[in-house]
Amino acid sequence: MPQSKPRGGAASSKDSKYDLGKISARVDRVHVSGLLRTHNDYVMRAADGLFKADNFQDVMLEAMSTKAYLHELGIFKDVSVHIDVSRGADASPQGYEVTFKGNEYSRMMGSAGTEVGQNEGSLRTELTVPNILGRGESISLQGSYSNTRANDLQLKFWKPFFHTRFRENRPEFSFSIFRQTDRFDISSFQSTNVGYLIDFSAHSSLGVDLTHSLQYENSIRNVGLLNKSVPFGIREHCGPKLASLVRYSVVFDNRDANVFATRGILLKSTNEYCGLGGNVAYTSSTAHGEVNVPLFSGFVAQFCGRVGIVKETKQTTLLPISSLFYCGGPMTLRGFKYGGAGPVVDGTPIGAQTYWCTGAHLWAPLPFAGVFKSLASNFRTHFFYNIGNTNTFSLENMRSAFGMGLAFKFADRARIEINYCIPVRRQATDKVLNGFQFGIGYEFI
Amino acid sequence: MDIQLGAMLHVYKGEWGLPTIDFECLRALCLLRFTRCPMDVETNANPLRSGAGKLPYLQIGNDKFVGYSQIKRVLDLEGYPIDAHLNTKQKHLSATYANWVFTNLHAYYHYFLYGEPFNFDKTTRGLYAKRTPFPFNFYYPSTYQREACDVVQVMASFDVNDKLDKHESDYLVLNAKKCVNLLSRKLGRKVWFFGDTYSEFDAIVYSYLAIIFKITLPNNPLQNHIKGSQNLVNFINRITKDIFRNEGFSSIKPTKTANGTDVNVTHSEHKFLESECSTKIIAGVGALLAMGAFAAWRGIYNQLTTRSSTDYDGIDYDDDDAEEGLD
Amino acid sequence: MPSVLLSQLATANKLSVEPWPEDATLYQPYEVEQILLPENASCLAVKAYLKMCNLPFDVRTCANAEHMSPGGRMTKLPFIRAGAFIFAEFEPIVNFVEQKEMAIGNLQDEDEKADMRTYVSLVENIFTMAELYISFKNERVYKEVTAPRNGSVYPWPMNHMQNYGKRRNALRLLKVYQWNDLDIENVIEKVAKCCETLEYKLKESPDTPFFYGEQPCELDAIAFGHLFSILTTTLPNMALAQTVQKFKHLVEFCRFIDDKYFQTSFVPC
Repeated sequence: MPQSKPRGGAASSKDSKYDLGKISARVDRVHVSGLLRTHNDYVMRAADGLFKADNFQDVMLEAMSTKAYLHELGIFKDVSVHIDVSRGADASPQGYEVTFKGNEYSRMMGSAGTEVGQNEGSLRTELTVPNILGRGESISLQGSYSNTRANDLQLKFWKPFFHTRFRENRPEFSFSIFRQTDRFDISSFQSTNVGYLIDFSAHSSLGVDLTHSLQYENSIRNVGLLNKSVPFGIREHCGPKLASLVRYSVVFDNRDANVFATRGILLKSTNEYCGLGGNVAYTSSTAHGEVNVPLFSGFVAQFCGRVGIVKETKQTTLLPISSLFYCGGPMTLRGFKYGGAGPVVDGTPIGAQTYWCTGAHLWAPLPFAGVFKSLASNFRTHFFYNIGNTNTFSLENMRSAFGMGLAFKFADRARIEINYCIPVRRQATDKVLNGFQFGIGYEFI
Repeated sequence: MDIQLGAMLHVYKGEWGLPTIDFECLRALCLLRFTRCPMDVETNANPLRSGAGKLPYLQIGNDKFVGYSQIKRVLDLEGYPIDAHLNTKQKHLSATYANWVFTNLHAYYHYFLYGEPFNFDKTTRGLYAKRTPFPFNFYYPSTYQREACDVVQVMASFDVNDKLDKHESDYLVLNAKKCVNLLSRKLGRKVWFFGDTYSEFDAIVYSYLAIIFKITLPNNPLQNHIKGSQNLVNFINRITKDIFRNEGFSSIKPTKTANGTDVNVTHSEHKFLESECSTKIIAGVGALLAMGAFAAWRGIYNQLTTRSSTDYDGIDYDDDDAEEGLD
Repeated sequence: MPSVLLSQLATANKLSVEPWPEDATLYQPYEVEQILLPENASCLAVKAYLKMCNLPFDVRTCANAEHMSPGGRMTKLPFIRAGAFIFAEFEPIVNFVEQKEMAIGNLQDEDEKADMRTYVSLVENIFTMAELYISFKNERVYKEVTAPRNGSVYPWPMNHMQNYGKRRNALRLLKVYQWNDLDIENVIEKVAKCCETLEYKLKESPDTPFFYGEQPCELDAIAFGHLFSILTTTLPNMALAQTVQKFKHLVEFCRFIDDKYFQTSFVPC
């Protein structure tokens, strides 16, 4: 699909042999080849930046960013770039032709792998039909199975709007139908959710870069028991309920890496309002923050914090037990069992209406990291100190623990930790874990 | 309709000296033989002919009566009601106790014969598969398993498809043992439960206990418990010997065990070997079909690809060149 | 899992010496707008039994009573919460009360007791199945009564799904108890036969109002629960009530129990 720009206005400059920025250049034509099923207008904006380049360095950089953009469109398996001197009758003196050779995704793609969830791994299989209608629309069917969790299923349709004039905002729309089971083993119940979710997400860059996501969820939540002897306070919640909720979340992230960041801040907030029809009503807000400060010779200080509140609304009869917060466990308060630092009913831990917890870390590279550089970059050691509490914001009766451990970066997104934990302050009903604790997940405190 | 002309009851063939291997069939047979109804019994029946995919069924002319309750109704109408010789109180008690035995033993029977995975795979599946004609014997026994799944789910509230350690069969066993104890006490030294006259209650007790007592399952906790009640054992053996003298069947003949070659092969192993043989045949046929299908598909595929490759002239030339080079 | 069962058994035994808990609570669905005929019958049977034993209890109605129940063989309802213990359906509740030796009908000898237990099981099976049959297999009753009532506690799209699930479970229950291929005449026949048995039993002791002697027992409670519910529930198809009404002694028996233990007005339909 050739694009061309009218002649004229070619920049001329004083050549310097080594400074590419001083070599004047002008892009005459941009080809994007390999579009079999994709409509031409979907990649039309790919070349916007390229035509603005007026020296060779810009051309190179823009070509790279265009390549990244083409990848993001979700139609190509791989893209290669060719930059050549422009030829032909209407070629300008410093004209170049840029060709992107794309290789489109096949009609159907299958994959199998492992997934990292709330401190557990599971087997996941996925079947994707990419780019059905020629503008990036895709459908995927995802199923996952783990020994601790029942089968989950998700059928998702999504459509990116990266090709529109809101390209910078990365708008994306998705609709999914899901069946998902959350097991709360510590409280001996599970919640099976069946429903659909409509999601619209976009970036905004008014001063700061934020990622917004607005969701509407309509689902049937069926609470069932995992055990015969369950406190009545939990048994009361059994049975199906219809939840209808809007969820808004916003993320600010300027860290330099997802897992082992050395500098930068992550702020994330999620607000839910449930009660637009259905018979479940509550509001819920959580906020998560992470600050990384580089110190000397690879050492990093990290401070994390998280707060969550669930509140009744006017229509609430009973707060849903599956929306309460569990504090404790390798992702929140190390040194405690999962959900083990919170209120209990008849000896069984139950979620809390509010909770907060914070953590301070000192991250260090492995000793002798220089010897096995590629391997060692996936590992870090850390010392940590966690403080947290549930159902109160005072420092009275708080829980705390400290310890040290080894963390491993898994698939560039998840973190696996093994820590030796020593709980310092605890309550009589808490379930502590004094010793080694294993954790796997995306978001830690 | 004349019951004596061409009426035929179709049941599964027996085993371990019993006339049949199936509870419903045995129950229907009891009705027939207790009341001395002069009707023929076909033990080599094909379950697919019944119309419901199940035995027993009663055929009179062109009419088929499938299942115990329909057969009982026919026999009642034809003048062979099973509870005819009881007094009014006993008639009521017979129906009441029959219902009670059903409540207590039905789930046990279904769980340990069809629901328990080892029992089913080692014994029960083979028993039913052997009595079903060839292509259907792979699918058909599992219909019993599905039915048992429902029975266990409803009457014992656990799921057979769960892991084995989640099967809460203790409750079933406990209930069944209590039931057997009470039956043993109720029978005492009497010939039948109501003294000298047979009843539907006798039929249902015999049908459940005879199968549970005689079947060779890897896991069957009630079997030993029944052995402990001598009067029930006598009750089962007496009915088997006296009433089902002609229908009783056992695949291991005394002569066969005497010749020594098969002594070491237990009954279930024997059956396993047989079923393995048929499995091999089926596997062979399946493999042949698969290969045939693959070959056909490849053939068509090749034709298609060669046809399409002619569109690209250049490639054809290249091929020609290569061939020439070889020459 | 076995440790849980064992510990439960141990505590149940320990509990047996303790008196009847003051806070014993019976849970059941909403009586006016939600409860279905089979559930109503079993709830009434349990209430009658507890009243006959003269045990105090509260009744709490909640929409998700069936889901809260620990499970059972038939309707899973009602369930009783006594201290830390939960028992569902008629038979387990009776067993629990008997452990406390506060039960009625302790006077009978062993054989009579066995007979009585089998009668209870017969009444429970036959009537519950007949009630389920009429509620879920009779299209008119299902459409006009069962579905709207069962769905009444759920918001719109969910009521249909819940109705579908409930009906599927009911049909499975009927299949397991081998009632699925019966037609309404067979059902009536079975109910009539069961009523006959009950009336015969009642006539055995003509001088007393109860099935066994001067004292009420489980059989009185469960027979009352089912017969009274069938007689007093108005459905588009009154076949069951008409069948029961043919047995004058049983109707009289219901009237008597209702007067003695419930003191509500009884209007035979």
